[in-house]
Amino acid sequence: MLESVVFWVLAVLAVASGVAVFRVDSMARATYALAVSFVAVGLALLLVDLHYIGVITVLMMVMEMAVMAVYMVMFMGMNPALMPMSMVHDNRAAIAAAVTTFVVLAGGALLVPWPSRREPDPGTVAGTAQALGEAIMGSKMLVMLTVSPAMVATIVAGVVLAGARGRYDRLGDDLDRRPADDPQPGGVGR
Amino acid sequence: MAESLFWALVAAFLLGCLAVAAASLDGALGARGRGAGNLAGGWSAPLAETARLMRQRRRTLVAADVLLWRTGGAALLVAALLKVAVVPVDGWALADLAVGLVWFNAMDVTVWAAVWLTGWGANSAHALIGGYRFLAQGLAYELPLMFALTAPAVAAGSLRLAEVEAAQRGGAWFVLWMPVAFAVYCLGVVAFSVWGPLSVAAGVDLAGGVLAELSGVDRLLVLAGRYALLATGAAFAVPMFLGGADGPLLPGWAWFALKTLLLLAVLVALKRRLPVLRPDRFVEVGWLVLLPAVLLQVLVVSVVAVWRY
Amino acid sequence: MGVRQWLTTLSLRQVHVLVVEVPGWWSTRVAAQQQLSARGWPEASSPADADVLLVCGHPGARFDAAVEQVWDQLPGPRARERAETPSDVADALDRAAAVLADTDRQRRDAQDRDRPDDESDQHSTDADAHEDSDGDSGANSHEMSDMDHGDMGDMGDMGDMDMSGMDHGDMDMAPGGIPLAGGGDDRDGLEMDVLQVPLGPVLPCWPAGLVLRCSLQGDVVVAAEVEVLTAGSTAPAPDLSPRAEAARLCDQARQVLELSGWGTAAQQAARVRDDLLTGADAAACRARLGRLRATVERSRLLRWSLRDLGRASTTHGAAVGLPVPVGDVHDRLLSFLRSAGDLLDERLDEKADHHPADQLKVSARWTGTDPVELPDLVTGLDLAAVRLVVASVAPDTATADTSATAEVDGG
Repeated sequence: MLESVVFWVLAVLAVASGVAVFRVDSMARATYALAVSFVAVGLALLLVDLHYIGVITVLMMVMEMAVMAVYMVMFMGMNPALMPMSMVHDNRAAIAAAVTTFVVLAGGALLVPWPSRREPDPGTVAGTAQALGEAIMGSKMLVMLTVSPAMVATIVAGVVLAGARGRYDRLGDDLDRRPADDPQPGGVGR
Repeated sequence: MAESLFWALVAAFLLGCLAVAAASLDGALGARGRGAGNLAGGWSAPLAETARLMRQRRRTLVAADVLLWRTGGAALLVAALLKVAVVPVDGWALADLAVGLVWFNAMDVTVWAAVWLTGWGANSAHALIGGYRFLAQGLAYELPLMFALTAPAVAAGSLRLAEVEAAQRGGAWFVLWMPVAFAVYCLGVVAFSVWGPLSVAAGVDLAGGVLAELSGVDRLLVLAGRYALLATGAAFAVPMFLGGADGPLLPGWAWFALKTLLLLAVLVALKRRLPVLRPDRFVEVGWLVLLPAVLLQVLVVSVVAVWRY
Repeated sequence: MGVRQWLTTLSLRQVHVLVVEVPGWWSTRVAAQQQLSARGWPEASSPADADVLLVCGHPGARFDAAVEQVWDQLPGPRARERAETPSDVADALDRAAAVLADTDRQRRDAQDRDRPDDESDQHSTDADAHEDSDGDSGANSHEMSDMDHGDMGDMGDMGDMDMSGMDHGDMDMAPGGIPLAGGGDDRDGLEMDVLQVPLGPVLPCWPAGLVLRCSLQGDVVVAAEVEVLTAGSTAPAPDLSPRAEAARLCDQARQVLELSGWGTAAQQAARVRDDLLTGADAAACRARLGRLRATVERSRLLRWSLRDLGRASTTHGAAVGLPVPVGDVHDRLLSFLRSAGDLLDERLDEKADHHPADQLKVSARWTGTDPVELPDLVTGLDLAAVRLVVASVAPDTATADTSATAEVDGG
């Protein structure tokens, strides 16, 4: 009973703050409305005993919104102000895509014949998740382990490539200028 | 339900006592440094400061985003209270989550949001710069902190704090064989409490930074939140690195209290003794020095953990 | 009411005082800080933090206007006092405490401020538009529009955007009556808005009467203009004895240490300064100064933090024969302490042979840098670095003021 109440509260909160993202007049408010929406979803995940995923969702989303504030200043024009603004571009296509996705996913969630759940023994929730994980990813575990550092390396490489100043700007044509020519020197002197 | 509410209030009260103790120590150290004779005034500084702030009027600025501003200010204290919920004292915790460690980490990330919102909402240059300097510093300390928190989890084989504490029973405290993780963790605590060497968000060089435009109850909430976060960080370190309630002779809770108070005293004393680390310098240090060091530490811990099994 | 009375008494133990120094009244300001330290009252870091506004000296017309604006920003309960001589300070603080304790008076003050609500709001928005507000404690409520408004020109590339959602037209792009900031290219190639922020004259650890109008992009200063607000009457003649000069140098060192966040070292510097001024035993002062100097020189963390900050490359001062700041902030901090030590040891004739980096002329009358040097030094630095550089350069606003009192005070 309590779980139902909590679930519905979180669900309404998630949807309402999601809508608020598009309705508020300030980019900062939009950012944190998005954060609230994600946090509500993360907390809802706690209700289905996905503790780790739920808490990690909360953690990641809050940090992402905080970092978004940095990008907000760097790249956006007038929006962080308390000025009325519109958050939508290309309205019609976006609405079509969103409605289609929602119909497909919701239809799938409601219409797929899920297997009925056996009565779990106390303490086997973790066991079920583990079994599920092994069934899906089993033989590919090693691949999973190596994919993650590869992804990090890609992100870092992308950021480096996107930077306006390369090594030759910093270190001179022969890469031998020490200390590097930076507008603001870092702490380690690299 | 009523019982857990009662215990929650007890936990909040104890946290409040720790925060007041930290503030009193800070006041006393300040008084001693000034060379003034009235050390008693230093010890009672938090009480006097609370009275002064309760008496002071609140203020606002033109076009300040009041909703975000006040939310950010209150969120520090709320984050501290949520964190303390998972700390186990002698195996008993208010909410012994299976992922207590990750919960702690999630709450200290909400401090990022809180500090930035406090800086943003005020619509003032100094406050905003303070908020952004906090984010810059956050980018440096957060990853090392997260990896430092992983080390005891790997050693204990669990994310549940009671099990991490239990794994150190008998004197094999984690601080002894993962000192790098402990040092980085303490740095992280100092950072998310906006304290001492990592207090750029509230620095004198920015006319108080995020505190520049706060007065009255709002200021009290933010200051109390800082001390509460410091206290929670110190309390959390005890089951994570310092063996929890482990120790001879005295009962478990007494050891816990003793260790918490000692660590809290060390953290409070750090404030005046070290200059502030400027974020533009600290970012390189965080990524090029701290992160590899912590990763090596986690590697060592992992090797030991695998070898033990 | 018993509780209220108790609360008031308790709050008087920790009165936060915002000290405003008028150029030329340095000794009064130092006396104020000594008094605060003796009473255990902290110095306020911003008007929001302050209960008492203590003006040390006699401010001129423009300075007074700035002080009025700061006074407006103090939340209640508040008190305002002025002190001219060092001996006045204790009484001024006592009077201020009495005013704070007088609850009825504070209540009337609060009502007077709240009552003309519409008029004062109007007044403040008119003042905003002029961008005239000198000298705020760095947290100017009038000029802070949100920092990230670009120009309307950017909207063209947004595709088929829903224009009806924007009703800017009638608002005239001025939320809260403050015009939006214009944009410009910044140091890193981003297009960021330019915000005009005046620093000073009421700012902790800041030269007296100095106003530095910065153009900020993000937190980086891209342009700056300097102005010195003058006093309203002739300042008392400064004490030129070696002790007083050494005390001034210690005070400058204290400011740099305070801004770099090192509380214990700053407090030690304050104690050396106070000892020198109260006429304590010379040997004890020398010993204390020596210990402070050793602590600061040994600190690698401080050197790492301040290294290469504000490295002076200007030659303007040298061309007109003024003392030139050299090195970076760390070098200048050490040179303050060395010079103070030299003055105390009465090694006035041994200029600077031991210390090649130290070219600050240690003469009988130490003059700090001319404020006119400042814009060159601070352009391209972030705001916190600007504070450190200004404190390390120690612009001498008192002498700048006495030579130009007549013309500047007319404004």
